[in-house]
Amino acid sequence: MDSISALLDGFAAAAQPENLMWAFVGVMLGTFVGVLPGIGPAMTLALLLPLTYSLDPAPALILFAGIYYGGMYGGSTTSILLNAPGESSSVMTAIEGNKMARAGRGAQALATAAIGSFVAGTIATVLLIFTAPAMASFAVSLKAQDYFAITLISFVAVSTVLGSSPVRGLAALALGLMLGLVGIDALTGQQRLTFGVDSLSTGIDTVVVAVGLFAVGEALWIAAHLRQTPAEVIPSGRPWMSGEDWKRSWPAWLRGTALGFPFCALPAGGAEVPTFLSYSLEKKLTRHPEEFGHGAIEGVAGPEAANNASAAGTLVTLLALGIPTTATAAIMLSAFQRYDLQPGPLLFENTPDVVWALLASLLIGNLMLLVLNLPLAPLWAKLLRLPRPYLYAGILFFSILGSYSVNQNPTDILVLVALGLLGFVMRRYGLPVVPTVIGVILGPTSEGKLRQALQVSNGDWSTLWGTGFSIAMYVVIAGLLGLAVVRAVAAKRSSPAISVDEHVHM
Amino acid sequence: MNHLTAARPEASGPQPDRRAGYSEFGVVGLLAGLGVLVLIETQQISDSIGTMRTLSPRVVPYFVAAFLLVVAALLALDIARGGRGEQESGEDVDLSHGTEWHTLLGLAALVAGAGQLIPLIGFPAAGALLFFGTTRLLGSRRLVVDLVVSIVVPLVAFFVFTEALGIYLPIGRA
Repeated sequence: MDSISALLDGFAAAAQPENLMWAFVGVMLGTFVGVLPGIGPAMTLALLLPLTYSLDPAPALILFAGIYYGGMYGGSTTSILLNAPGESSSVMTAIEGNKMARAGRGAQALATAAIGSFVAGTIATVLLIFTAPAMASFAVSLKAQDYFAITLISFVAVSTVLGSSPVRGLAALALGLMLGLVGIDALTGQQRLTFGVDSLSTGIDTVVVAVGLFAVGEALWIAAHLRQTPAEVIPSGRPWMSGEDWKRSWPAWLRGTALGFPFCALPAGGAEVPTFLSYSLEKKLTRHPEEFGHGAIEGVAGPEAANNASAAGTLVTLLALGIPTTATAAIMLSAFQRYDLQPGPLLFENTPDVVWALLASLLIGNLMLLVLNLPLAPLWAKLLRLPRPYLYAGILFFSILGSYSVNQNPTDILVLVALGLLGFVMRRYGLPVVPTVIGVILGPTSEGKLRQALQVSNGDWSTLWGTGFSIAMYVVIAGLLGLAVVRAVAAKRSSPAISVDEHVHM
Repeated sequence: MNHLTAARPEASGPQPDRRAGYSEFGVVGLLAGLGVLVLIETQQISDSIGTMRTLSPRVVPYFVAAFLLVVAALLALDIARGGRGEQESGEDVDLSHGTEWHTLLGLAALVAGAGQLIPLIGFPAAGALLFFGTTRLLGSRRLVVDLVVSIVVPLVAFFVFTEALGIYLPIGRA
């Protein structure tokens, strides 16, 4: 197989001492920041993106991959010990994980999460290595109108499938599309929505958008509603599991992986649905139904595996199609674009060395996480007690550091504050932030593909539904919108029950 | 990122009262206002040259403006029918008392101000100001510790970024 020799070359590149060091630094920093309460993987990536600015593409992406996996790992620790999932995909882990920790089984919960993440991450990364090139060679045959339809499906899926209110999801998307318009029009060079402000003409940088909405918005929201009593952190020792725990965990890991990867390899992915499905599945299959709701180990093992498998699944669409389906993928896309690497069908042909080194270092980083974090877990847990004034001061400090270092422009900090206030308002009124970020980043791509399609057809709009693939996409979009309408009507009739939707609105 | 508090029904916050219900229409106003703004701004874009046979730079902005207006109308309908946005909860969040406006606005002003000071007094000093101001606004009262942390963290970050990572940050016009 071609992939195998390419992967071996990738391993050779990733195993150079310098690259190993970057993977190590990334894993440690990612875990460190990811463990901090309230900081999920997307915010970790956004805050740490500036670290990579002066590196070459390969080490930068290796560092970034380490940060990504580390941030996900750190998030599960926070969910279990503090019941504070940093991202909606960790909500399911928190349910049983925190109950386990309260029942004195925190060490086992951490162990099944860590080992499950490793197992799922490794299997899913191997699947990624084999599916992404295949998907890329399929994607070569896709036309501009097909890509346009794929971007539309991402928009609709991210704003209506997740979250408790489709209307608010669409509102968030509209805000993102608007922000994405700011800047110079690619075709005619005219300024759009810049209001004569010079520094807006290059558009609002992705880092500023992500840091503003996620980090500054979150810090402002929490600061204005800060709980005066300190949060309760449940102490836990070094992670370990008994034979019985292993026996109950491993089938759940595999099932979680099987749910997580394929779901997120679709353009409408996102880890929330598979983690929720995995939780329900484990609840149904368990031989210890009495433990669910009081800390069942399967309820941690399954969703956590699904979460990590979906992270690799997300990379399939990102690498092969160039379409980000989650906020983390959107930030990774902007990291690629900084190096003029355009993820998409041609990425594997044009820059195989970088891609394969990245894929190999995902596997290496995954192993590093396991080896490092089992012994280091008690140390990470101490971070949860960080006094909140320092935590939020640190978040704001690193927010301006990251945003300022993008363009060395103080005006960017004003944009950052404006976006932070927007993030505050969105949190206050239940508008999810992720559709906005996806709208900003994918909006211009979508317009570009539409323009390309119309150029080929000489301005004939019927070209948009001229391929079988695009028609299939529009059918799915119609289905998703229909589902959203049904949900909006149903939500009115019944009082909201406790469901995953209630909590999924990051 | 938020803290999503799972399996804790009481954390979803108190039921919104009537007054909070009216403020929901502020979001409708924001969306509609932005829609109108995009509409007006799009008029300024000319679509003469070379765009006849492809997508004019005005089409997508017009679409976004219409989308904003439609979503504003749908949201107004949802609120009128009793729909309420769910405030974000979290482990550090206490929704039982209202927004502390002076903290919110103080922090926003602090971040904006520190950003403008970076080219003048340098990144370490501006960062230290921001850090110290935030800890005080958030109620930390250990003056010496706050000062030490606020000076050490920005300095360490500055040296790591400029020396180890080679990223330029201004040191000020001193």
